[in-house]
Amino acid sequence: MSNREKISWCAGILLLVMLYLLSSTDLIIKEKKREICRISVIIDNVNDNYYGSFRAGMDMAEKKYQADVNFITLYAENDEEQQEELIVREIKDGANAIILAPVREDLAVMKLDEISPGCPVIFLGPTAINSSVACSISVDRYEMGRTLGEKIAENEDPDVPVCLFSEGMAYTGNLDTYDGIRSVLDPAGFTVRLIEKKSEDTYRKAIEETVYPESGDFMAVGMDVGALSELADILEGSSVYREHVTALYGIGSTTALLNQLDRGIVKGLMAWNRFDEGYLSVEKAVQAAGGEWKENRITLTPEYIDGEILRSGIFEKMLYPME
Amino acid sequence: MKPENEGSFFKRTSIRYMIFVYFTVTALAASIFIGLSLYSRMSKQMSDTMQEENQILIDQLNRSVDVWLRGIMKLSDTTYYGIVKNADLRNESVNKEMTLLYDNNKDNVENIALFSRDGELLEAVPATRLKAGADPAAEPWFEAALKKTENLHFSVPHVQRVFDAGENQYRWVISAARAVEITEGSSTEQGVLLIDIRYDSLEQLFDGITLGNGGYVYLLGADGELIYHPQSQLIYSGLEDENLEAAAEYRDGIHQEEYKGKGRAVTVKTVGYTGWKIVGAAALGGASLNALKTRILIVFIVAFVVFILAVINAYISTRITTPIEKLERSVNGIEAGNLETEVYVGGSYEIRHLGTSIRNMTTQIRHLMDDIVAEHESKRKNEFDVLQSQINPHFLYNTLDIIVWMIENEKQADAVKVVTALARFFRISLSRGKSIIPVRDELEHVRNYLMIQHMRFKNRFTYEIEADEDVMELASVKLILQPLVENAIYHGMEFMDGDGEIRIQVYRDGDDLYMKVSDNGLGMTKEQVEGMFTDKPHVKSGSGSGIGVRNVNERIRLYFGQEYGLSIESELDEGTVVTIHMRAVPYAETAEGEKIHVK
Repeated sequence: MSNREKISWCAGILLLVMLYLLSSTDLIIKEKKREICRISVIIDNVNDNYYGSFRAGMDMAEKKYQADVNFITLYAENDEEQQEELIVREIKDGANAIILAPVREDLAVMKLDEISPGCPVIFLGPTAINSSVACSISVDRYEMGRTLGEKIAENEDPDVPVCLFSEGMAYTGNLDTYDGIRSVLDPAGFTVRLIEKKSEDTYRKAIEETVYPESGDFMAVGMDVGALSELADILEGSSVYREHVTALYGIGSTTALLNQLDRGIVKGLMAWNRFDEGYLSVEKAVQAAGGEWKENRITLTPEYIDGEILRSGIFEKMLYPME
Repeated sequence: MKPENEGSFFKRTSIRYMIFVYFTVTALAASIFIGLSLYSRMSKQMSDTMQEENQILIDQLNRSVDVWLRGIMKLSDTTYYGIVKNADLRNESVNKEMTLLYDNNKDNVENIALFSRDGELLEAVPATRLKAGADPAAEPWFEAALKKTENLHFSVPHVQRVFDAGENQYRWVISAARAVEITEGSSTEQGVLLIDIRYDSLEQLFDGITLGNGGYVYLLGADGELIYHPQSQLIYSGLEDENLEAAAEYRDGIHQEEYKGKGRAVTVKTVGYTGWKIVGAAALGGASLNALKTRILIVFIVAFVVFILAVINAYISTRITTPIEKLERSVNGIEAGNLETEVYVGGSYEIRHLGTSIRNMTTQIRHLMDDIVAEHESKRKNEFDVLQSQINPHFLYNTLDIIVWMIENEKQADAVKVVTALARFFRISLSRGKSIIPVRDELEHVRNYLMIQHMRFKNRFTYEIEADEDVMELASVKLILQPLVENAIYHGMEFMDGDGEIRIQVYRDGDDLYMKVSDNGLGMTKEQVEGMFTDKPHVKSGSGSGIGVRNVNERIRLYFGQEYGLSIESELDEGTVVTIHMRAVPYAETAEGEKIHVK
């Protein structure tokens, strides 16, 4: 056998060995192991009552992307410090991405800058973006407030004052909603009063005042889902209050609120597709954890729902997602 | 026949390499062809099997849905014919029986309710009431029931909002409604029997069912509306798409469609009674090679097969060509002139036959060569004898001339000496017919000759012979000095007057034997020297034959080879030195005396 032939055979054997190593081992080409993406969802509430549809969407995405979603509630309502602690805890525990519904948008952005989480964060609600925030999924709160204001102006008597109830103007999105509502109601000649929650019975006291002879009737607007739910519960519990509160509007689309809308306790509300919000938040979190995402700002479209629309079933699939 | 310049590649390529390449390329082509054929065939078979299995799965699902529907229909019939029909609603037993029926089916049934024609709730289990403001008569299921009273109508999934439910609950249901006759006291009127079936009970039938190649199954209503889809909520939200319109148009069977740029097989099966369509969608194609590693694995398998084929081909080609190569080496040896080369005979029949033929041919050539050599030897001997025979008469004539001269001049003693020397001269000349004699005899021979000539030329020259004792027993070609000495005398000394000198020196230098004959005669020109070795006529003295030098040279070369022979150095008026160069071979080793030149 000539040297040339020996070299050829050796080259052939080497080629085979190389191909074997390439095709059948992980020495050269390492196959991507499908890692389960661990996602922590930290909400701004003590329970998930307001997150029913959101969770349905979240569960759908969790199943589709084979993620491990940990849904975390606060121990105390709107406690931003505790939320920060939970973020730190989840990062330490090895979360690949965090979906955060911040209590206060401004503080959350600041804290994230301080913490530097090292994993992508998906914001629910706020539109602010910084280096830690991979994506924000939000509703245009100002536009939502404006639309609600238009519906109120359209349906209600401007002589009846409007009380805007809020869990706190510092909380995410409330200021924008407030500005949106006032941008319509003020020019329309409505008298607008803001009532922020200071204690557990702030709303009840405000409604009770309507019963006093010197106090007049008013329209109530719950500017966030917490305020609207509490107001609806108060009104549903007393027919007297309903006589003095001429109408209840607000923002939120929990099943209880929809039932109250159906029963006429709530006259109209602003809602958006919370199933999509839940689904997209997990989808974007998985993508961001994998190092790829295309859009970092998703804006959901709010819809005005009243009893008539609700019964027509037009928004049935949006408001009552199949679980 | 191909021109010379064609196929130059093949001229440079060995037969082993050509066989190897041809076999390997053919095997590779065959492997690829078979591989592709098998892949294509298996892929199609897999695709067909997959479609068949999909069809079977969908048939099974169809049966499950059918059973599920029949269960509901049976429940509706039981409720109507067993409980409601002809029974007075005021009787509590109706509610009890309906409750019992509900309890038995509550895993699948959300509620059972009986409405009057106006939508008034007459009976409901579990106990519930209408929502404030709810108008059942306006509901699609209610209208459908009264529109075709003979049928049981199945609605599309919806949230049942006519009943008061829990604060935080909603249920997706499929409403099965039918027109019924309601008896209340003595009056009978038409009403609607509603059975709300939990949507998840239908969902359970489809849950987890997947088709091959990432396929899935969904359910369409009779009008093409979506009843079930694994991603129904995403489709409602617009986050995913489904080719619902096309699917609604398909008849039962397997259809191929292009959707989102990909081909897929859509299997459709209509569910009896309701007209719902079970649709299975799966990507077309059998085995796919998507992963990089899978592709490399295929390359590896092909390369491995080719390598194994190459090894086998190399072995086969070596087995075939090794005998040819060995035979070729034998032929090369023969071609180089070595007829003693052992001719290889081995391998297959043809090559063995060829080897045998070449071996026989070589043997024949060798015999012919031997004959030619023998003939040549014989011819050479004859030539030598002829040359030698040219010398003797010449010298004899001259010597006899001297003797005659001596006798005429009454110099009997000198004549006796000459005759004696002549006798000894001829004794050595004869040497019993040998051509090779010892140096000693050759010197003795030339000494006798010189003595005769010295007497003849009346001492006009002197001569001297010098030889080492160790050269005496070496072999020499016979009678080589005498012609040279004769030339020296006749051409060098003829016109000298008593001061001519002839000197003979014999010595050994390594393996060579040298004999020098030098004179101080007239000498020769260069042309004359060159003419000594050719057949051209050259200057002759009146007494010389003119053939002596050439004769000696040829005889030495005949015996010792071309590198031996004579060399002449001569200067006009200075003299001539003729050197004989022979191989130093002991005479004893040349007993035969004729085979010195054969090495």
